[in-house]
Amino acid sequence: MTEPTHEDEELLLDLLTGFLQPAAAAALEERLASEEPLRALHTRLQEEQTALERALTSNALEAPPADLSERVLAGFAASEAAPGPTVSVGRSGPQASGSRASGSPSFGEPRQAAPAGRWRALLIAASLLLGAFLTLQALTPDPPHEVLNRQVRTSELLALGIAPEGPQ
Amino acid sequence: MEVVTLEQPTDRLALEAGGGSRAAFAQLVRLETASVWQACSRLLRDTGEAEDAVQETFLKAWLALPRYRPEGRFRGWLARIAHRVCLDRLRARKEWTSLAREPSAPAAPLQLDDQDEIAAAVSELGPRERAVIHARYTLGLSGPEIAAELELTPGNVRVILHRAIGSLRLALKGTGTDD
Repeated sequence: MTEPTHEDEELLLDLLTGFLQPAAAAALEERLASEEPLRALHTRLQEEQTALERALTSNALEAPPADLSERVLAGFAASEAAPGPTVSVGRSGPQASGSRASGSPSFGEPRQAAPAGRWRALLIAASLLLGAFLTLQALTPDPPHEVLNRQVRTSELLALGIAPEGPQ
Repeated sequence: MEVVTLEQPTDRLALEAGGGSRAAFAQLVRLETASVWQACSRLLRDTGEAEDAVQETFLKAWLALPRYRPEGRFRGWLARIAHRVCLDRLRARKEWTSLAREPSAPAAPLQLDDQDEIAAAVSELGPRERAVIHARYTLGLSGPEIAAELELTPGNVRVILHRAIGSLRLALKGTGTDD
């Protein structure tokens, strides 16, 4: 029985980490059933995966700075007292983005942010519309002077009841 | 009608906090700071930045809590927020784009019981490797899920994961009961 190759090991690792396509996985499972050295390697790799998982989900960890949770909470409380779009919570303070989904009380959420934003959007939209209207007006060509003069003369003659007949 | 089973005390607190209870949120912060800190400090390897990331994680959690569905996985939900916060910070670093060196030679699978040694070796990996290892073994994400989370291709994630495991084997060779 042949020893597993480096490629076999890569395949087994893919199988364990969910990277193998179903067909390839089925073929490998078949080989696992019949090849003892491959099965032994599979077991070792499984143990390795378990060891990594255990180590990285372990609760016996380096402890956080003693007062970190209190500082986080103090940061929230402070941000509540200070209005504004930036929520400062602790050492340097992250930036708040978005607003809370519910209308519940918040830790420093910028409560007026949404209405102010709406007003700003309305103002921008109105300015854009006005700008577009003025641009269109500026671009519309004036009728030639002769046409204007003829229209004025015709309207005067019409008013006097002596307008010439036929098309102008 | 959906039946909500509150399997964990944190789920009950999360529901209350989602409804606006500051006391419940404060309790959650006290209960979960250690786990969030662990994830952030391991991923970022910078105490000050990890503290900021913890704060940012809780802030984002507070904003997202009204949408939290209590399924007994509050810690996992929070860990995922922390992971994303740290990823954003890692991506902003120059070293994020650097490629990890391929291990010089393949090494045998690890057979270590010392969790501290493994965790220490993981913290010595490059930022992408740390992020992939963390997503895989702490969050339990599958390859395609990691790829989506890190905005990489699954093939890329696979290569990074293999390299990371290879590097860990080399780093930990001879430190445990490996035969």
